[in-house]
Amino acid sequence: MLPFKVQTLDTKLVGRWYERRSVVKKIISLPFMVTVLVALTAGGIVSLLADENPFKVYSILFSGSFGSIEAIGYTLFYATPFIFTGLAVAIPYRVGLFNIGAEGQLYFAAIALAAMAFYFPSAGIFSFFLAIAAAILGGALFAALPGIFKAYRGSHEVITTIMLNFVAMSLSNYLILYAWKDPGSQRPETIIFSESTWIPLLHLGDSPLNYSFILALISAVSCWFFLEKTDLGFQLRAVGQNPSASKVAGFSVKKCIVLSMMIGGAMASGVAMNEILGNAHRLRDGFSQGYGFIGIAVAFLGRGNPIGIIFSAIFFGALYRGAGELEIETHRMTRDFATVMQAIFIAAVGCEGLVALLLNKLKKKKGDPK
Amino acid sequence: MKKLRFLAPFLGLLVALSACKKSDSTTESTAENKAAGAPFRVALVLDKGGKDDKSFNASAFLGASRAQKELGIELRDVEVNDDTQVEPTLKNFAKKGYDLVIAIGFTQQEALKKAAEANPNTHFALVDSVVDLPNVASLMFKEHQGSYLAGALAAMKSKSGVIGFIGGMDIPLIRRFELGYREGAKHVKNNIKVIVNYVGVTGEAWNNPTKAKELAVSQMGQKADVIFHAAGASGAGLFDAVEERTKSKAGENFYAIGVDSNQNWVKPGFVLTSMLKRVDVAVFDTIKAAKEGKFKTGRQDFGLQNAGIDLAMDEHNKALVDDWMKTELDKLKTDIVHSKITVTDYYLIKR
Repeated sequence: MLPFKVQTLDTKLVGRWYERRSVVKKIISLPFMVTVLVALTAGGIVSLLADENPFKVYSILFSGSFGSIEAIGYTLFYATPFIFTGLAVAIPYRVGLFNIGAEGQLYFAAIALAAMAFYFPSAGIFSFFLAIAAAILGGALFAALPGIFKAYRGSHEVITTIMLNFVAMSLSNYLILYAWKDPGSQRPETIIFSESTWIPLLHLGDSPLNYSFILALISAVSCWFFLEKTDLGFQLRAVGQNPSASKVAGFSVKKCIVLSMMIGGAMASGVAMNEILGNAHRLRDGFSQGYGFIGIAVAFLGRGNPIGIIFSAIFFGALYRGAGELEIETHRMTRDFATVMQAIFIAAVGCEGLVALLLNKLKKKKGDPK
Repeated sequence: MKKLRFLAPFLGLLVALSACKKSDSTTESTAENKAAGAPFRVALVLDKGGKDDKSFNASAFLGASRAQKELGIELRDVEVNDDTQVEPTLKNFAKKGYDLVIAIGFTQQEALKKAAEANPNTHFALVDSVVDLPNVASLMFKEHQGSYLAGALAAMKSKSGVIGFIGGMDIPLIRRFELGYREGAKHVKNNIKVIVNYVGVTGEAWNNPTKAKELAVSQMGQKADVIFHAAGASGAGLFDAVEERTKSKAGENFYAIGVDSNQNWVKPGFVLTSMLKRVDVAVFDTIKAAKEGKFKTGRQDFGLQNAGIDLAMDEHNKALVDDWMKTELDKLKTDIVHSKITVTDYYLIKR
C-alpha cells in the first residue's frame, strides 16, 4: 500500500521540488529533518510504553551499532545485503516496475553459486570467479523471466515475481535437504565450500565484514552513474516516467523493462555472495532473513536513488545490529524494537511529502515570500 | 526559514552527541558494578521457539530462573531467531564480562565454537551438541533411553495395538527419540504398530502446532491411541487433537506423551506422561558449579542413571498410569541403568 502513496505524494506535491536538489541537500532539507524528529519521537513513545527510558534506548542503539570498530563492522556487514536488495528493487522501480522478487532472485543466485562451489571446488581461483559469475548470471536470468512476461505478455510483475519467489525458495530447500545435504550435520545445510571460493574478510574488528561490502558500494555507485549519466540509463528513466512518450521517441520499452529487471536480479545476487562466500561458506536453509522484502523498504527510504540506498541500508544495518545490543542491555525490550523503528521510519518517510506541504502552508501564512 | 534549514544538521549532530555521552556513562556504571563485587552474571541464549515453548527452551529457562532465585545470580535471557545473530550475541555477552554463557540447542554449535575460541576466559556451556574446547561444557542427553520408557508405557497403555510418534524437524537428534520409542514399544508388545510422522524438515517445524495437529488427527484415524511428540512448541497441536478426539468419541480414549519439560499439566487427563529431558537440572547444576568455582568442562552426559532423563509422574497423570505399569517401568529403568538392556543410539548406528 504505502509505496504507491509515496510515489503519488512525491510526484504531485514535492516531486519537482526535489528533482532540482542533490542528495545531500535532500538529506538536510527541513521536511526531512522534521520527519526524522517525528519518527524518533514516535519511537521514544514506544519505548516509554515499554517502560524504558527513550534516551537510554537510543544511546544503546547508537553505541551498539557505531560504538566500536567491531560494532561498525557488524553494522556494515548487515547493511551489505540491504544495499544489494535495495538496488534490486530501486532499478526496476525507475522503469516503473515493482520488483517484489528480490528474495527469489537472491535464492536462485545462491543456488547457481552453490552449484559451482559444490561441483567445481578445486579449480583454485577459477572456482571463485565461476561461483561469482554463476550467481550474477543466475540472479539476472531469474529476474529476466518476469521482465519478459511483463514486456511481451503484459503479466503484472508483482504477481509473477511473488510466485517466482516460491519457486526459487522451494528449489533451494529441495537441494539443501536432499541433493546437497551434509550428512554429518543436524541441520539442513551443505558442506563447507572449498576455501578458494571464500571472499576475504575486511578485518574490521572481529566482524564478518568482507569485500562484498566494497562490491556493494561499487555496485551502488555504478548504478547511479548508469542511471544518471548514460544514454541507456536515460532511456530507462524515460520509460519509467512515460512509456508511451518513450515509445514515440524511439526507445524500446520492452528492452528497458527486461534490462532493468536483469540488473535488479544481478544486484540481488550480491546477497548470496555476502552470506555464502563471505560468511557462512555454505548454503544453509533460511540463509536470507527476508532481505529481498526489507530491500523494498530500503529502496523507498533511499528514495530509489542508489546513493541514498547506501545510507538507508546502513541505517537499517545499524538498527539490526543495535537491536541485538538492546536485547542484552535492557530488561523489557527485544530485537523486535528494530522492526518497530523500521516501520515508523518507513511510515514517516511516506508522510514526508505531507510534512513539506504543511511547512509550505505555514510559510505562506507567515507571508514569507520565496 | 533559510536559517532554520541551516540549523537542521546541527540539531542532528546534537542528538548524536548526546547519545555518545550517554553511552559512555552506561559503560562506566557497569565497570563500577564489577568493581564493587557484582553478582555472578549468567547469559542464557535460547533456541528457536523461545522460553514459552512449554518444552525444550522452557526447561532451560526454568533451570536458569531457579538459579536466579536460589543462588542470587544475575540472569539475562535472549532468544535468537537469526543465524547471523547468534555469534555476535554470544561474543557480546562474553565481552560484557558475563561469567557464564549458556547456549541452548545444537544450532548454536558453530557460533559457540568461534565465540569460545575468541574468549578463552569466559565459561561457556552448550546443550545438545559438543564443542571440544577447554572453556566449554557440553551437556548431552541420552534421549533414546527416555524414549524407550515412553515407548514401553505407550505399548502398555494402548488398546488398539497402534501407537504414534510425531517428530519436529527430521534430524538425527529426533530420529534418536524415534528409534528409542520404537524399541521400547517392541519390547513390551512385539507386534505393535508404530506410525511415525515428522512436522517438517526446516526449523519452522518446531513452531507449527497446526501441522502437528493434522498429523495427530491422521494418526488417530489410523487407530493410534497413544502418541508421543518430540516437536517442541508444535506439540501443542497434538494435545489439542487428543483432547478434541477423546471428547467427540464417547468410550474411546486417546493419550499424548509430552517431551522435554513436564507437560502433564498442559491437558490433565490426556497427557499420559512426559519424557523429561532435564535441561533445567543440567543448566542449574552448571550455573551452580560455575558460581562455586567448580565449573567442569568437557562432555557431560545426562541419562537415566543421574535422573537427567526420566518419565514425569505427578498428580496430573496419577489416574492414567496403573501401578503395574509403574513397576514394569521401574524394572526397565534399572535394567537400562545396569546395562542389562541396551537401547540403540541412533548417533552410533553406521549409516
